[in-house]
Amino acid sequence: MRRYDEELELLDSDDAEDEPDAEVSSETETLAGPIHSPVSGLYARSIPQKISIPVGPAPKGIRPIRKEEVRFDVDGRYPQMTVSGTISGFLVARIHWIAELTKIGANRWQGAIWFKDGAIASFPYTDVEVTALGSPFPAGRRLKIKFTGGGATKRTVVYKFRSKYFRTVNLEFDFQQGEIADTEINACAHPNRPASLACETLTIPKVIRRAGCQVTVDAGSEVPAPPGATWSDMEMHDAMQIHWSRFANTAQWAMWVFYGSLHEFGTGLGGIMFDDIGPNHRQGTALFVDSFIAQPPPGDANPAAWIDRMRFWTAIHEMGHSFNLAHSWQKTLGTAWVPLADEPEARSFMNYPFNVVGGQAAFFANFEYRFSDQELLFIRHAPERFVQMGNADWFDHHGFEEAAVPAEPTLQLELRVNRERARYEFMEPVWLELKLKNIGDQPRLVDADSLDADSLTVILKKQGKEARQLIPFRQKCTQPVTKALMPGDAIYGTVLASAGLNGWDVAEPGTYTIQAAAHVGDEDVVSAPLDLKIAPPNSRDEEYVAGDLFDQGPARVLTLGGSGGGIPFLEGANDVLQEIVERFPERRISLHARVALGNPHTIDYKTVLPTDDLQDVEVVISKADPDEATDLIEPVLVDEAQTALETLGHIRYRTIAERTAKRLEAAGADAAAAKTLDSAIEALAARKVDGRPIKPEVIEDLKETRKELAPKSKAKPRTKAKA
Amino acid sequence: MQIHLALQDGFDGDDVVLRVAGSEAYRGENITTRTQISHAADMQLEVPDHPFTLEVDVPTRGVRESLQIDPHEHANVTLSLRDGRVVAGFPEQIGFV
Repeated sequence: MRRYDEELELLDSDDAEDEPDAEVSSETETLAGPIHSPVSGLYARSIPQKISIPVGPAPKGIRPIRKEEVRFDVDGRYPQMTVSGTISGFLVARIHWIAELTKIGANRWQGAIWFKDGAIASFPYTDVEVTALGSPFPAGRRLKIKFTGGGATKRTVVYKFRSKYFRTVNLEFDFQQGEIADTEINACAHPNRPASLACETLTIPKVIRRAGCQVTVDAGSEVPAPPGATWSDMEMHDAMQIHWSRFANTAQWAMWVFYGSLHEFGTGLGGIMFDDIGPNHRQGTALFVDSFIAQPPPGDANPAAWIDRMRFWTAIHEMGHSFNLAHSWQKTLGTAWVPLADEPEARSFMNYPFNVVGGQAAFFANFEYRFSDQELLFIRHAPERFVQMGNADWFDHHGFEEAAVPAEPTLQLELRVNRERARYEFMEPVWLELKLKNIGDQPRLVDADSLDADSLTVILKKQGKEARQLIPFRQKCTQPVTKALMPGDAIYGTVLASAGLNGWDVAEPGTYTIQAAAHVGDEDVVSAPLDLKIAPPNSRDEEYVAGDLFDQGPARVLTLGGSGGGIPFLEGANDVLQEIVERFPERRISLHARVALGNPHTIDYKTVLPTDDLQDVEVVISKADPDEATDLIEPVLVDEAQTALETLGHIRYRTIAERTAKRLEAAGADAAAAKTLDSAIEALAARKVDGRPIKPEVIEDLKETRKELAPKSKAKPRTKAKA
Repeated sequence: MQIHLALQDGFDGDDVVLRVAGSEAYRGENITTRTQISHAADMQLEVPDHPFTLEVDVPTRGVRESLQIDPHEHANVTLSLRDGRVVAGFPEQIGFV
């Protein structure tokens, strides 16, 4: 049945919280048609995750999308003519956008995206066009948004209605022994009020609902009076931890509102959002019912109603601070989420009534028990971390807050560097090794490429800086291969943490924390954080070269295993790596550079280049040069085998050794091939990390490969000297 | 007579000296705003019962400004630092929330 929602001024029926997920739309105009019912509210599209099944269309870098929410705000109470959205990938890959809307038809709006936050490089769109299908039944409401601009392919998504509210927040009103938590007033009890003000019983939850937040309320409880009868901030913080049923040191959409008698500050403090203590701020607020807010001006027409109204106003004012709202005249101070304007005359809960021209009488004569538009915009549409109580900086300490980790995991992800101490030389690429193990007692099906860089979520955080997500250079497009992982079995992978499409995120000297998550079906398998340090440069010369190394070209060449040249962009990268080999042969980066430079010489290397007249392209083949390859790679795999094992990592060392040997053999360099494998077998057999040797089967596998080379290959010194 | 004077927004570990009609009336060190209540300090100042000059000196910012105050018109005075300037307000009442 349809009913009128007085908080939002919407004609409505029930919410549709449990509606099935929406589908990505086709380009049909099935939503067309006049609207006869409100359309504002929260819409969502959530994606059931399946192994390796594409779920697009997704912005690049946010693959796969886990959840997408849209807040559509064009009708109902205090419409902001705004649509905002949050696109969440697994874990931290999140984009937030906001667009201002203009109505262009009966059920159509359009506007420019004026705010972006998060992984914005993955979200180039500049404009939206919104088509709404209103319905008296929430389940029937749809929103189609077409994203355009920014040079990106048009993206169209249909969302299903979820709630008429944009957020949901829980409130608990506790009170000092002997006081009461009075959370309602008669709006017309005081004669000084706007003539148009509806005479109704106003409650705090009703006001918050009108701001766009669904409200749930937990039962309040009595708090013993403090020693000395007045409250300090610390005492209230202690009381919050003891008496608030939902207290937790975490960000949550919940706040504690405390009605006390007086603060130790004295009667001049009417209330305070006291919770700037500890790691999670803005969870607790208080008002002091015996302070100046209980002192009506002399001669007031209805002193009791004045006190009730002032207490009501103060409670919501402090709750506004918990939503991270500043005072009306403070909007331009501090770090605003977007450029704001001060509102010293605003009739808002966040202004001081006695500060406006004409004083409190003038304020309440026009006060409609609301927040200002820019405050409503913030509460409804700002990124969650700015608004949610107790939240911290973007991704800081909350990198994996959205991980879908089962209570009793049967998969374990290990992130390791295979060296005694996770210390890296300056410029040394950080290659991580990953092990995904079935620790349950039943077989598990996993994607064979679960540990490939583009299948993982890897978070990189330098101490003192915001966390960043590794965006790998390579995105595969392959037929998924499912692998049965038996109990106790594991799959392994490697990933270069140093650099990706975001740049060199793990390169500057300092301490880093790295965490990874593999995604198996609906489950996120999250590793323990790995701390590592990068040493400062040894010399000014290293700093200079690092300026060239920490660029996209060298990063791509190191990640992809070399470039055969001919491509100007990557030729420069090869020059940088060659310079490193020549000038810093004792540094570990030179081993990586040698592998990247030598690898293309192990095969007939094909390069696609434009023809001279630029009218076509041609494939240019550079013949394999086993001698050049051996010159570059042998010092790494043979002469510096133990160092190479540490800096390349066990898996890459073995992979490179095996690949190089096979290619050298194919190119006719049998002896070099044999020497490479013999050295690898010897090095791996001697290798121990923290007292643990390499698994015997790894060495046995290599020996098998070596046998395949024999008997024609026998290791012997090369006779050809490099000119 | 007295006025109620509050140092409100913009103070961050600052030294503040107030002079009433040339005489030092207040000196505060390490004055810092608690932004959620817009309060850094407040005090009752003894002032002449006629218009006077209030000199506000914030040496830690290199800010020094003078204001003309009529205590009969402005019993409540707020001072904030904004963009390197002292901004005065004259509210009906001084209280903090």
